[in-house]
Amino acid sequence: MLPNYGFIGLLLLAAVAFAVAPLVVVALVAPRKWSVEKGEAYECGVRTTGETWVRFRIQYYVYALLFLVFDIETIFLYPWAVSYLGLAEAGFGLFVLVEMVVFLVLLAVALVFAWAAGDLRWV
Amino acid sequence: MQLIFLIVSAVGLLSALGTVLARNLVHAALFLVAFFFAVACQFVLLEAEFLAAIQVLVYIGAVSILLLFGVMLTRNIQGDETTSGHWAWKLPAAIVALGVFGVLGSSITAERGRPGQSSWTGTATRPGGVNPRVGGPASVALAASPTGRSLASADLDGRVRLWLPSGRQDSAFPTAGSTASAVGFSPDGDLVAAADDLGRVLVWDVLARRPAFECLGGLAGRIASVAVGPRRSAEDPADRLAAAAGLDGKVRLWDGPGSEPRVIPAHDGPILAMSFTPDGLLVTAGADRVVKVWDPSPGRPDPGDALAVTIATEPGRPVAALAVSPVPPRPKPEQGDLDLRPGAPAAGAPALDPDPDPAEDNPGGPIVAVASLVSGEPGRWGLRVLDATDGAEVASFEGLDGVPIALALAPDSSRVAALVGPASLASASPGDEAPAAPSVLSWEIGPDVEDPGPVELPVDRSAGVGSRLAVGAGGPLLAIAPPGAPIAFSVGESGPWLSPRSPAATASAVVADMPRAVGDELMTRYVVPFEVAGLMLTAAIVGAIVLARQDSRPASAAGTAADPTALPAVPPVSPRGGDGEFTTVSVSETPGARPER
Amino acid sequence: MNVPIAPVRPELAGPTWIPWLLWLVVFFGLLPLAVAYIVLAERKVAGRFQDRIGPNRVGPFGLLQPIADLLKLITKENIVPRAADAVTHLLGPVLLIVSAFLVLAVIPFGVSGSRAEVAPFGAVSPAEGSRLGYPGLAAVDTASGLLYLVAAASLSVLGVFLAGWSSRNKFALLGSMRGVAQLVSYEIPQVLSLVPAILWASSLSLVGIFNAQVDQGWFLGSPPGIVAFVVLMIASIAETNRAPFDLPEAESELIAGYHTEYSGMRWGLFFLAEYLAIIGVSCLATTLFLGGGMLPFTSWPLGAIDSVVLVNLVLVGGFVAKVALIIFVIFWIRATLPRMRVDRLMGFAWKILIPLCLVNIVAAAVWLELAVRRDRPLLGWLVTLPPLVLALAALVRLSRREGPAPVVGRDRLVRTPAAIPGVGGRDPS
Repeated sequence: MLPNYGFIGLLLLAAVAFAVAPLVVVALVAPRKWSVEKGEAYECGVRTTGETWVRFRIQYYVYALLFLVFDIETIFLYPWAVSYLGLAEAGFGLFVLVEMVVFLVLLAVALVFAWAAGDLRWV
Repeated sequence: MQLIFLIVSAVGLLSALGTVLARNLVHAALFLVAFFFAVACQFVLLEAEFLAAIQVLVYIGAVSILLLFGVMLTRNIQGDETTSGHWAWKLPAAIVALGVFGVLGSSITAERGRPGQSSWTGTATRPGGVNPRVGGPASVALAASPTGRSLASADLDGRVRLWLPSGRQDSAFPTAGSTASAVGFSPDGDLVAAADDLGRVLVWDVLARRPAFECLGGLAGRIASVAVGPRRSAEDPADRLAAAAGLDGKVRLWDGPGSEPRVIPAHDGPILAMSFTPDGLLVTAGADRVVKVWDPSPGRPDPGDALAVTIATEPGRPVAALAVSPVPPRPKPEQGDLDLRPGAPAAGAPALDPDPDPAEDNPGGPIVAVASLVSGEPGRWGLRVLDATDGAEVASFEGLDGVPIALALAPDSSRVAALVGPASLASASPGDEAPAAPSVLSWEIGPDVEDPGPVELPVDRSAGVGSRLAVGAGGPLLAIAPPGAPIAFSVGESGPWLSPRSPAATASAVVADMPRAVGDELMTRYVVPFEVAGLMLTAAIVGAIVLARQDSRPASAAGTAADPTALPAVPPVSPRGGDGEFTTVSVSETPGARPER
Repeated sequence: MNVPIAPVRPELAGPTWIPWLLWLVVFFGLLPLAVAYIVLAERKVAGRFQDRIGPNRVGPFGLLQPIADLLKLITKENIVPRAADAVTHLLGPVLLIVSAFLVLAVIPFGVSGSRAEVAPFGAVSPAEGSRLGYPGLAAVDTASGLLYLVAAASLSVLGVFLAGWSSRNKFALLGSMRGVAQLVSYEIPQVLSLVPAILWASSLSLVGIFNAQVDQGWFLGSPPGIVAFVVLMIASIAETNRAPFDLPEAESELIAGYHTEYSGMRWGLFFLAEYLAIIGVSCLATTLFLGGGMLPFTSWPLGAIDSVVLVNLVLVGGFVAKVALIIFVIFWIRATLPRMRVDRLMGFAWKILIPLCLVNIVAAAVWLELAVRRDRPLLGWLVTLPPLVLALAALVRLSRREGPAPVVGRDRLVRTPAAIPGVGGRDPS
């Protein structure tokens, strides 16, 4: 397993190098003519006004929260899916299936709750 | 490895510092992401790749997004205006932080190491050759103890494990760098030995669960069996002979710990089974169809001159499998007399033996079991149990249904078992239909056995050629080690086969296939309480919602237009009270709900 | 009695540098080249869809166009806005590229041995004994391969956020916030639609899933498989910010979304990452549901031909053909469908795809019980198809029920209390 992840680490470093290398080439090759206008934010040619890093609505946060709930669910669903066949062959099929249906129903209740509360409505 | 660990730890610590010290909140969150990533790397170094993936998925993919969205809710992202207060406010925080750090630091350093090691040191090697199946590593050799109390297996992860008859793991001995290819008990059952192909024999004390002695420097070669002799002196329990027999037909013999090995060419073909008798003789059985019982003590004549018995009288009968047992079969013990005594009247144990010495009324030597083709009948195999000293037939079972793959004699010669493959195994080619499943047949042997059996136990189809078999002394314990699969026990007369799940076996399986292990554990152990809790929580929430609806209905009907049933018809929604559908109402027509600004 | 020889798993043999180097060459040599010509193909295809010819000036049939584009990108000035957060401005596209490459590490493009002799991770049922499988032609095959892939793919969300946030541009920030919300919303159906494949293969290793399809046939050939494949494709298109889900970079409202402030080669990195991600999701869908490189209805070259090279000629060829087909469909969708509205986009993920996936998981388990374990595929179709169709119809109806989009007064939404007072009836601000 560790050699596998050794390769993944190598791939990660190589990918970073692969992304940065063209920029190095650009720094050597491309022209550099700096002007104040070039450094401005491009907002359709209109001078930018006010603070850019504004506050955002709570809606985004609610989506992230829901996402977290469903993301953690994969921790449960994936091992279940891996183990299901083996446990079914061992004779626990119905039990394991019902377990997962109960779990999915719990998740669905969360989804229905969010839906009914109007949190799934984009504004 | 150590270097990678240090680098990852340093990155993690630095990014943790960055998280605390960064003024810009997004930068702080980014440092936190880097810290999460360092934690994931540590999980990988611990070979917990499943947890590493979860760490990245949940923490970097979801929690950090949640944090960033939270940051985007705040006003002061950049940290331009300092929010830090007076030093008097910082002081208690600093004290608490230092206190926590101190507690953590002292408790970590106070951790005591294992016996013989200082704390936080020690290395563990990754178990090799672990079969991905839950149930543990595969075994290459099995042996049953003459005491009937344990069973030894040499496992592919480099350990020799002792199992209790119930199938629980008793202990595991590391074999230090190599995989043992044979295991064997001493005649008194006090010691268990394992030999590897590099010419080593390692011996452990069964009761004390620690290494007893080791014999090094033997001739390298494929070892098929190993044996430890009986105790020779009262003072030193380790003063014993040790022997390892290989497929090269040679016996490597050590005269006690630390001595130089002798190499004795005992057979013309591979030696397939070997055992010490309680009085110190060595029984060897080889593929040359010869069984020899000889005195291996120094100064004795070579085994070439020793008593030799040809066991397959007719030359045309190929031998499929061999097993030896060091003692002659004896009358069955009385009921209630449990198998707590050694299988043979060994020195030091006669007090436990209420029976008279069976050798008196049942003269005879060690026995050998031979599975061979019945002459003149192709495809029919038979099993014969012979006295190794004179070749007299003790028992004979003709007409096996298939090819005997493995053979085992109980160390007290009470039973013999054979793993019999399907009849078509010999001719089975990969294109054929799957043959019928093999089975284990076991017979009782002994002078007073009326119905020898056999008892038949079907086994998994994976238990094909290369499987090992062991029969426990006394009880009906059977153990089978299919190639590449974990050991399985049958405790009762009729099975079923149980695969033990020792902590070590589970741990090795977890390393190999963590998602499956997590799933198995979750589904078989932990899921029910959480689901019950979840169901109760859900019921509570649903109940609360229902209650809230009932409470709010009169109020809303009285005052506001909040109740959907009180709304004027709002196209295209047709609110139906009570069945919980999701009605969100277009707002321009309901000014009553518009809050005051 | 023959002594069994201890089976040694190949991964225990230690690091092997030569395959690693070869894989790096594949990843950083072949894939960027493929991206260059996929871009050209897209321009050509889009041209045909719009009754144009497409690029045909540089080289024969315009084949040198990618090179010309690359030269143009390299010689453009490297502009970082004055107000931008310089380090994170670079980090955004780098993270996207890293994520796209890491995803590809576990994809099995073919087999590395023509004999089924390794027991793949998982894919074992205790009663049957270990099932043999073919070693996969993947850079990495681990027991948690699919989970690793999902985790690596989720890194791109962070890249999108950083790119928009670090630009200090209102449009970029808005685009990235929208983008992140979209990406996380569609990540859930993507993750959930993988569950049927895991369930049937009983393994998280992509090689194990491939081997299961060698046994059972393409996973596409069942109602839950079809639903999962379609959901996976929809979610993957959304995850790669392709039309009709390209809201984060909707040029008519957000200039260029989160990469507004990126130009020249920095923009080129986004471009590369996007197309690498397209290759990645196509490879994933191919491996999981289209049987990798297997021909339909047969596992023919496997087990019949002994030469690894010849077998791989068929398998890798089939794999590339399937990936190319999926990419073409993605182009087709882009040329055909208009951009979705943002509330519809989010509603589609949460109100249709996710509940459908939950139903589909149960259907997949039922299919496993009926069609795989009891070998009655017809009964499986009869039992699983109607509930899935019904669920889809019901979900579409339910999600359409919500009426027109809310009206935003001044800067806040005003909303009546929802159908459940006491829950929805809170202060709407």
